Amino acid sequence: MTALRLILVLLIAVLARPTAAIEPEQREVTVISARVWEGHEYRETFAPSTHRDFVLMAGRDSAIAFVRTLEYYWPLSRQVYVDFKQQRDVLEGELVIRQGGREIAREKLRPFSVHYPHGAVRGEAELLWGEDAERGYSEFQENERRFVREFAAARRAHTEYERRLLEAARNQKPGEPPERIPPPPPLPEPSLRLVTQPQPGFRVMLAPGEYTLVLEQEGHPLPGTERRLRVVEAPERRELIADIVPEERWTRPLASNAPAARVYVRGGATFYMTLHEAGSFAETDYLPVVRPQAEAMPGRRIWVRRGPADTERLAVAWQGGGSTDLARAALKVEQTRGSSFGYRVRPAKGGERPDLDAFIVAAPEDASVRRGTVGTLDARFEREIIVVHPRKAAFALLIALAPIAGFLLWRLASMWQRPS
Amino acid sequence: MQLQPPGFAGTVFLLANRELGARLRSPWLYAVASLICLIAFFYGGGFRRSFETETVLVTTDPLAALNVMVMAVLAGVLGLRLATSIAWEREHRTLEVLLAGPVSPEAILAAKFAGEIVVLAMLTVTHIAYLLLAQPLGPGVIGPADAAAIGRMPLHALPLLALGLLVSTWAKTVRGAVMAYLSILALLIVHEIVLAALTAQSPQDLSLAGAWVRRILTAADTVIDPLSAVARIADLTTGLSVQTPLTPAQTGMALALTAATLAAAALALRARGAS
Repeated sequence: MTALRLILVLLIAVLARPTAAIEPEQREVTVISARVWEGHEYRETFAPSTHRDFVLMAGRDSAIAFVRTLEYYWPLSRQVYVDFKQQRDVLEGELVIRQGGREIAREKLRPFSVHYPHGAVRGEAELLWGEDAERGYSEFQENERRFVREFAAARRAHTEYERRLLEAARNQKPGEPPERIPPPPPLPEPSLRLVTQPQPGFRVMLAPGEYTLVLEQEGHPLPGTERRLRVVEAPERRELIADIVPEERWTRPLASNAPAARVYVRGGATFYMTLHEAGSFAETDYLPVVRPQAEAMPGRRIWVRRGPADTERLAVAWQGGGSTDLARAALKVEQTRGSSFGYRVRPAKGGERPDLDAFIVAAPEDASVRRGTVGTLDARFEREIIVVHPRKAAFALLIALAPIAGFLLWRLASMWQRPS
Repeated sequence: MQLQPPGFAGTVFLLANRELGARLRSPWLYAVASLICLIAFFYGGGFRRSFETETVLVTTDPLAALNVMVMAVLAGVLGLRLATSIAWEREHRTLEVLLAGPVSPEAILAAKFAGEIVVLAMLTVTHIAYLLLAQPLGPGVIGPADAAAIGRMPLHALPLLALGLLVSTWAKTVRGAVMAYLSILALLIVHEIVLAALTAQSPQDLSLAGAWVRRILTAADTVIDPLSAVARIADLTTGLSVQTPLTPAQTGMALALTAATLAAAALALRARGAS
């Protein structure tokens, strides 16, 4: 038996082939690497070598660079990627921008940095160019070094303070008053300000319209750098959008982005509403800016969330049922006891971290109340609420059958009235 | 006393009136009216059932899918009726009589089409009236503005009606007309459904065969779409997915296709005659 097993193992070992790794084929190409303005913040993106069209948003400057790199197609996501870690050679030259065949700008390659005054997470940023970028980055580095020094010194003072406290406690004799040791200064607060390391790029800030781009070296266009550029308008006004959180599915909010998106609610039910600031764009304008390889649906709008709204009060008015003001409430979701699923939503207690910071909207159970509105006091946001009560099914079915039934009755009546 | 034959408009009016009279005496009109009301009834049942497990639903128009469904049914059925119309006249030799008299082929086509447009309008009004009266989604859920949201949708049914007429002008028998109409309809529907299904999938989820078929169909669609009556109905479903109203350009395209198909039908009838 052992011999048989041994033979089988040897047979499998002989027949087995080594598995080939799936490594995509890489090719050296020229792509556009960019820091693009998307109406609220800067995003890092790239346009593959096969994309002849490139889209930017007006309103702020964006930074682009033509880069020789390794590009590959990844079948799992059906997208093209670049390996900037292995190769990222920025092409020197002048960026020539034309509109209708006429040259309108010629940009030189300059160092640029992204300056986040309140931290990268907040999103608010600006591009620094040339000397400003170098100086900004040096200042940022100096500030960081100073902070590290100050923090280390403060940390040492705290350690020393703790050591002295312990020593005083050990040396204290019964009946003696405790030694007073002055506390150290508090630890310094870190600055959220960030300036990225300068890197070369071309500054592009154009009015909305159609353009062409090309990189020229010594007056000659560099093959593979010609692109069509479309600059789209950034929305000037932010919108308020809502998330409707059903009481039975609190982890699955329903988005009410468009003003026409109405809320249909069962009579007597409660839902929670959170408001968000958002920028609204045509999908065909926004997606090509931030994700050049994504497929945008013509005619569809996209709402890009910028953060929670600071609205504190909402007004709810029910048709024939009066109106009330709602205050935003901090809510806690508490699991109910037992082995089965279940939870209840209750106001968060002091010190508790709320799970929801929302307005509580309760639909009336009264069947005579069928519609209402909820909105901000300044009318910046409003949504219609429709209360769904049980329908009269038998009546609705009878009415549906009325046309054919009426015709048949009419035919029968005609037959009876007809002389034999 | 000298009798003056009626002009083109008068002839069309007389013939359309005759067509409409026949339609109103036919049980199928009332059956279709009940059918669309029943579609709304069962759709309302589905809407209501969703509130048995959920408490909230967010949508711009809960009737959008229903309206598209009803328009698709009406366009298909009325198109089928028109597909049999001229073929029936030809099969029963009445077309010969009509063409021998002072009636032009265009007047016959216009009368048939006008009669069916009136029927389409009546059935659309029946649908709206049912929604408001029976409130199949629940009392007060459908307001007059919601019911009126059907708006320009009936105009998107017209190309299919015109297609039925075009098929009828060429078919020798009613059976042949029905078969031809249903075959063209099925092909166009399959094209739209397969393309929509493949387009809806993200590239990551698509098989290589699917991606290949999608590429072929997308290329073919550049030719098929402007000529397809089903694509004009599909424009209504596109509005559903993007949550935006129909554009005037889309409706204009439907009307242009209707006009072109009717012109082709007139040419076909002239070429084919009563035989």
